[in-house]
Amino acid sequence: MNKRGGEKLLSVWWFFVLTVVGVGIVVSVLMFYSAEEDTRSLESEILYNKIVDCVVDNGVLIQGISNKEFDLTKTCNLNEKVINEEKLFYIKINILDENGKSLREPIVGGSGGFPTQCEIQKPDENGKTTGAKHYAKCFERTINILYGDGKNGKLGILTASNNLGRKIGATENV
Amino acid sequence: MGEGRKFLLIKDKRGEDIFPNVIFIVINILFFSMLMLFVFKASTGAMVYEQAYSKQIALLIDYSKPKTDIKIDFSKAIAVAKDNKKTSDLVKIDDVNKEVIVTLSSQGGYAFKYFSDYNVETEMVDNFLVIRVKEKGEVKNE
Repeated sequence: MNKRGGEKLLSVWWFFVLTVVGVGIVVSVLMFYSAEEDTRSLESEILYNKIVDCVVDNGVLIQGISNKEFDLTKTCNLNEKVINEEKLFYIKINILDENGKSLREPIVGGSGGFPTQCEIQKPDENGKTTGAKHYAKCFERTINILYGDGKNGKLGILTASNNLGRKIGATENV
Repeated sequence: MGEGRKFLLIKDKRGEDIFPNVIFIVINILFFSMLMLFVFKASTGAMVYEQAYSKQIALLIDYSKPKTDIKIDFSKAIAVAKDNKKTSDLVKIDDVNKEVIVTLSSQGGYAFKYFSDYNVETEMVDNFLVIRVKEKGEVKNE
């Protein structure tokens, strides 16, 4: 066998290079395509919009929200199990008068750990945020509303989502 | 001596055997072709589309109000499912767990939760997926 050709064909070094390149490309591609598409920020914004649409009617706070028996999930067509049991979402509604005084205790639902995660992710004075990718993504706004007999007030809503999908195996019953 | 045997003895202008060089080139071409095929398969595979479609459908359901019909172009998903020899049950709505489950291959699928408490029905019309969002308790196929 020709010496130079034989060297190329049988070179352990060349097979090592091929293996490293191959494994590198396979691992990179698998990592890239198995990465989760993060829709949590979008979802928390959708949840916020849904709550505003539900509790505010033409700028006026709906009747009954100040009652202690007010059921947010039922009124706003939110699934009780997903919101309160599965701990994937968080909702906090603060109803304030024009001086910022609470008109009732906050309406809260979902995972109690999320407000801390939202707080941690808030940008500091330099505008930098922590890159905590496993923390819930949050959306918070305060809007002006009218309540009662046309009094001015504010509605503060914080929503958060940590809803990540899951892959289903071939044998899993769905 | 057979033709194949003769080929093994062919030499280039410098008198060196061609056969090992040919084998070397063929192995390299095979290796890189397999890598390219893998990258192409991974980028157009069911895994990517299952996740994209399940999230898109779940977000659309959450964004909708009751009595809304949504029509999604599902042709790409159908093509991917056909490549994987799957033709039915591409999208399921698990009304108990509030999950959208998209399955485009026989190797499982992807599930994504939605938070709205609606009755949701899906139907395939040609290459489109029609999602019907109804009030909870509303009669099916009304």
